[in-house]
Amino acid sequence: MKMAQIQLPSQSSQIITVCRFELLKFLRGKKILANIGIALAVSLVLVVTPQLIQIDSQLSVYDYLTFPLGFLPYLLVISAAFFGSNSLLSEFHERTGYALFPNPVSKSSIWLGKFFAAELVSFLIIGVYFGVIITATELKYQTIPEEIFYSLGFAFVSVTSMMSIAFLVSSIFRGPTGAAVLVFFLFIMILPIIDQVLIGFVDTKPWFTPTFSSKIIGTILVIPYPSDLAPGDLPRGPFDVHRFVPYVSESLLVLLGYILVSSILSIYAFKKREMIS
Amino acid sequence: MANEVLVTENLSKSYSGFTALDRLNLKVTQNTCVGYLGPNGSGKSTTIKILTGLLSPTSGKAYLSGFDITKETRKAMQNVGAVVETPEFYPYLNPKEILEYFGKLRGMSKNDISSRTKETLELVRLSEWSTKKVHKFSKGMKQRLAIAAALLHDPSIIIVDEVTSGLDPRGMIEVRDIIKSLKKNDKTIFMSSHLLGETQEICDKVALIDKGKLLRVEDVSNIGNLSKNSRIQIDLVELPSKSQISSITNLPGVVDVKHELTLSLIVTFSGGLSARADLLEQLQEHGLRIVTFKQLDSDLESLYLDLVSQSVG
Repeated sequence: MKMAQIQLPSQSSQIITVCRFELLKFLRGKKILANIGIALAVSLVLVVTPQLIQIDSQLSVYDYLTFPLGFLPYLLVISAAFFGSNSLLSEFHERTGYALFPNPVSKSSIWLGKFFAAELVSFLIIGVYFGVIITATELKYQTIPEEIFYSLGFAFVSVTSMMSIAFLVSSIFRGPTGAAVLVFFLFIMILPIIDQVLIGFVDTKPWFTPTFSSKIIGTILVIPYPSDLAPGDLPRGPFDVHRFVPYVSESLLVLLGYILVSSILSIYAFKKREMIS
Repeated sequence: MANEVLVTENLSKSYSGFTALDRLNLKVTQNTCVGYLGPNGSGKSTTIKILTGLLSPTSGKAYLSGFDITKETRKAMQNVGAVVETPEFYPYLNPKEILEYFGKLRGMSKNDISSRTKETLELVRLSEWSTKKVHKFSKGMKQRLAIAAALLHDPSIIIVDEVTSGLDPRGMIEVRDIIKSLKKNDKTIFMSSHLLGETQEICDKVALIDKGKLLRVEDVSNIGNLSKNSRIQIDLVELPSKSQISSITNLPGVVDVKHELTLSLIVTFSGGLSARADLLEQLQEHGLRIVTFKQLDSDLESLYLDLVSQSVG
C-alpha cells in the first residue's frame, strides 16, 4: 500500500502519545501495585491506630490528620525512586532507545511525556493515601478541614520536585539500581541529615532544601501556623535552640525552583546523551 | 543536491581522543541501494547512529531529504525508517501496540496504522505474534519487528545497520528478499554490513570505509574491473608438470601460483573479467585439462581486501 505524505503531529500530541504509553508501562508493571498497596495499607493502619491505642478522644481533627502525614515523605520518595529514577536511563540501559529515538520526535517531547506519566501515577498514589485519610476523618469527625486540601496540593508540588530531581539523576546515571538507590537515600537520609546538621550544629534554617520545604505538607495542619522561634523565646530547657518552621510561600518557591532547575538540567543532559553502546 | 537524499559533509566523530569517523563525505542519490562496508570498528555504526540522531557529530554535517539531522531532526527523520543494531522493545507491549506507538508518533491515522501494521507484520512473518508481549521474543524476532517498525510509515529512505545479524539462515534470506522488494518500490536504501556477498547481491553501489575514512564509492556492476588481485581455484584432471606451473607463472596477470601436489592450483591473478577469460584460454593452450575454474573471493571481497590492506599499510 502506498501512503500519502504524512503530516508530522504537533509536539504536544507526541507528548501525549509518549505519556500514554509510559502510563501503560506503569499500569502493567508491579511497581504501581506495590506502591498503591503500601499507600492503602499504611494509611489504613495510621488512621485506625489512634482508636486502637485509645487516644483518639484526646485528638483534635488537626492532630488526627497530622498523625498519618508523618509517613507521607516516604511515600513521595518511593514514588520518585520507582517511577522517575529509571524512566530515562532505561532507554539507554535497556537499548529501547534504538527503536524510539530514530522516530521524528524530539527528546524534550519524550522527556515531557515520561515526566507527566510518572507524575500522574504518583498523584494517583498520593490521592489514594489522602483519600483514605480524608474518608476516615469525615467518618470520625463529620468535617474535613480545608487545610488538608492545601496539604494535598503541597504533596503534589513536593513529589514533583522530587520527581524532577529523580529525572535529573536518570538522565545522567548509567545503572538503574544506582539511580534508584541514590534518589531514595538522597531524600530519606542525605538531605534530612543536612537539615539536622544545619539546624542543630550551624544554627541555620535549611529553607533551601527540598526536604525542609516539603514539611509544609504537615505544618499547614498546625493551627495557627507556627513561626520561627529564637533561643529564649520559650523556656525549653538546656538544649534550647532555634525552632525553624518552613514558610508556605518561601517553601513553594524553593520547591518550584528545584522543579525548574532540575527539569532544565535533566532535559539538557537527556538531549546530549548519546546511544554509544 | 536535488537528487541526493542522504548527504554527509566532512562528518567527523571523536570519542575522547579516538577518531571514529574522519571527515566523511558521502552522497546517496534517490532510489539507489548503497551498501556501506567496512571491518569492525571502521566507523559504519557511528555513521548510521549519526544519521539516525542517536549520536551527535563532533564536526561536519549530515542531511536527510535536505534537512540537517542535528538541527531539524524531526523533519530529517520524517521519511526515514531505520533499524540500528538489534533494538530492544518495551517488554510490556506487544508488536501491535509498539507499531501503534511509533505510528502515532509519526502522525499516522488509526486506519493507516491498522492496515500497515497488518501488512508489515505479515511481511516479517510476525502476524501470529502480533498480540504476544515482546519479552517472549527471540533476538531474531525482535530484529524482524524492528524491520516492521522501520517500514510501518512506508518511508522513502531506509537506513539499516547489520540488518541480518542475529537472524538464522532462513531469516537472513527473507530479510534480503524484503530489501530487494523495497528496491523495486522507489526506496533509497543505505545499509551497513560486513557481509560482502549479501551487499553485492542486494546493492547497486558500495561505499567502503576503514578507520573512519571513506576509501571508495563504486557501482557494484563495475567492481569486477576494479579488483586488483583475485584468487582463482583451478581443478585439473591430472597433476601439472613443473614446466607447466612455471609457464603459468609467466602468463600475463598471474601474480602467484600455489600448488601442493594435488589436482588443484590456486592462482593469484590481477585483471578484470576479460583478462580472466583470456587466462582460461591460455591455460588450456598450455595443455592443462581443466575441470573447474572458479574465483575464490568475490570481486567485492577482492576489492575490499585490497583497499583495506592499503589502508592498514
